[in-house]
Amino acid sequence: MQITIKVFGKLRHYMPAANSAGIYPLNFDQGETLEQLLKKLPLPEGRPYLVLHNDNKIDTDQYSSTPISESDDIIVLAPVKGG
Amino acid sequence: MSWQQRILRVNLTTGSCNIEPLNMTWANEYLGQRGLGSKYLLEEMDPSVDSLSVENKLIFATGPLTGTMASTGGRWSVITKGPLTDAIACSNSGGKFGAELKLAGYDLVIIEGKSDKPVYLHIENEKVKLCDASEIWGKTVWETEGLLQKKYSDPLMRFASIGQAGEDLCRYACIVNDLHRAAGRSGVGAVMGSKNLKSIGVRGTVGVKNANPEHFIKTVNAVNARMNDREGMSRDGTLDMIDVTNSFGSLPTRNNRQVRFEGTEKLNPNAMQTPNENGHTNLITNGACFGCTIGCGRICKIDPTHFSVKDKPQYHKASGGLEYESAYALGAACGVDDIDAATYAGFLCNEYGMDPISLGGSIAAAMELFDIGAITEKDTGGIKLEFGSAQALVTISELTARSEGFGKDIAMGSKRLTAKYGHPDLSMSVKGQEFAGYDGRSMQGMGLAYATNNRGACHMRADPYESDFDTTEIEGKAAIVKNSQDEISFIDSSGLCLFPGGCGWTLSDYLELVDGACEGSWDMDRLQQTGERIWNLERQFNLLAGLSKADDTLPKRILEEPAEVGAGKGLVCRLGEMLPEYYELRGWDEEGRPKTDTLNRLGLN
Repeated sequence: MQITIKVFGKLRHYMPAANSAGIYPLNFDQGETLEQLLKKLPLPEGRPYLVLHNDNKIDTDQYSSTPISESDDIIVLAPVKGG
Repeated sequence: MSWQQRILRVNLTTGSCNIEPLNMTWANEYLGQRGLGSKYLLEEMDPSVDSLSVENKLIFATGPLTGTMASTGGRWSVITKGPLTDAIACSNSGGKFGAELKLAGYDLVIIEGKSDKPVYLHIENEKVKLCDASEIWGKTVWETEGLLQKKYSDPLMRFASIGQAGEDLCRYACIVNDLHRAAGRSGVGAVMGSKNLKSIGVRGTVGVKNANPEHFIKTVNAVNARMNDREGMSRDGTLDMIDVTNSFGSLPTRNNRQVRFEGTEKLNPNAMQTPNENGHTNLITNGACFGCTIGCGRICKIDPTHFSVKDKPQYHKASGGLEYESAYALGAACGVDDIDAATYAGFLCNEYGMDPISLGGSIAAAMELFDIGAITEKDTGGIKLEFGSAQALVTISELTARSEGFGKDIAMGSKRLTAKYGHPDLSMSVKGQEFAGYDGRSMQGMGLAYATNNRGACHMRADPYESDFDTTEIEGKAAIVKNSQDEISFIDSSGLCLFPGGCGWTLSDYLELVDGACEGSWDMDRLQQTGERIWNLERQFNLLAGLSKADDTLPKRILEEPAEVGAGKGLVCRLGEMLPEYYELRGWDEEGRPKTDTLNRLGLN
């Protein structure tokens, strides 16, 4: 199955050139969790980010208990400062 | 030491230009730039005078790190009483002008009085002269810089000028330096215009000394090396924030009616960097200020076939493009998703000298007035001032720049404009200054920061970002806002930019640079106390100017209309719950007045 994840803010820098718009398709299997899905993104270890799952902010400790479906809207953001 | 220990005092009434020693007691208490300029302002003028009167003073202030080799050591500020807010105004700029002023040997330039004829100020180290500006009065900033560059034939000469908006006293006129950098907010350009001062040109070869240059160079190198996360900012500027706030639900859209804009993907970094249907790419390259190793500036070109510039070849060249705030204000706030139209309106802001945030916020307020029928085409001179209309944005921006037709109303700012047409609640502003690109319902700390800011709504005086993107719960936010306001007051007074803080620097790095540049010992306690002193001094100015607790508030929309989507769905800003705790943390009474103990502790009594 496939889902398209949006990666915005400074995290776009880590996306391959083909995904520089921040739109990143990922394959996943039935039953996979948000945590497993996020591990497939080419994001550096230890870098803080926040995840919006169907317009709700998901806490880090919920990643492993949140199942994924194809219709989910998932956005990964780096917390940024203003200017 | 990195202060020049000299100020230049220019009296436009008498025509005198005198060099005086810097008050070093104040320099050690207020550091420089914002803090020091504010101290001089409070000491030398009555805060209750009209901001456009001859009694107002206009101070151009550098910091001890301005003009040094520290990364981002090019910042400078303009301090005055702001015509938009009738409160203390301190507007920060970059580019090259501030460094040049410092290299010419000055910490501050104090402008007082009013010239009876248009003049410009010419500074070459100790040679200072007021010159006739009759040939440049009425010209744009770009024309002014071009004419003065040609006259002096020195490509290293730097200029800070007003355009017609400043001459016409637009309430949010700004001072533009180096063509597309600006002391943008609160109408500092109108003060300059009220004094008949068109431009300041400066060339400096004195240099900046340091008591221990070897140590300073080592410090600079060590701290620069800790800036380890700048690539995103170099590539996208601040514009990458628009996808963040849009996703999060904190992007003020259509005058804060909504918090998410469906047109965001036409304004974001990807849109700026991808060729359009005509093969044209908006972004040309990035740009940097003096001494900056980040380079967040955007240099952009409008599609020459776009309706806004089709028959105007003077706009077919590259210039300062959209950053986050201008993309929000000239885009989402007005419901406009046309990147070329927004870029063109931004060009006009640089050319005529207007704050794009306040221009966009004022147009957005006018669009809502039009939407509800409070103004009609009869008032607007035939312009269908509808949300989403790129044509209306372009036309009204042109009229505002030249103070023509309904542009005169837009030039009043949203507070005066909406009051004129009977709907003051529709001004999305604090103390008369229009919101930045963050909504206080999903970002509760930002709501408190807007309401308590000494210069009106702005996003650059507190740092609630990490907390606000983490949670909408308000516990702890008063302390975060208060502490970060003090820290930023210090950084704003140093000559350094805030952006390294988002690229790997911590507060300790800033402190290390100040300690390396300035005599005496600077530690965290001194940093915090200096910042708190500056904040309270600004508050004193405002109280004497007639502001009060009543001004520490937010528009009804933010306090009473819940956000419809995003992280703030169903929420209003809980300002009423955060404000008392904020006042207490500040050592202020329930009316927001600094207590005697607080003033004594900070040496402000």
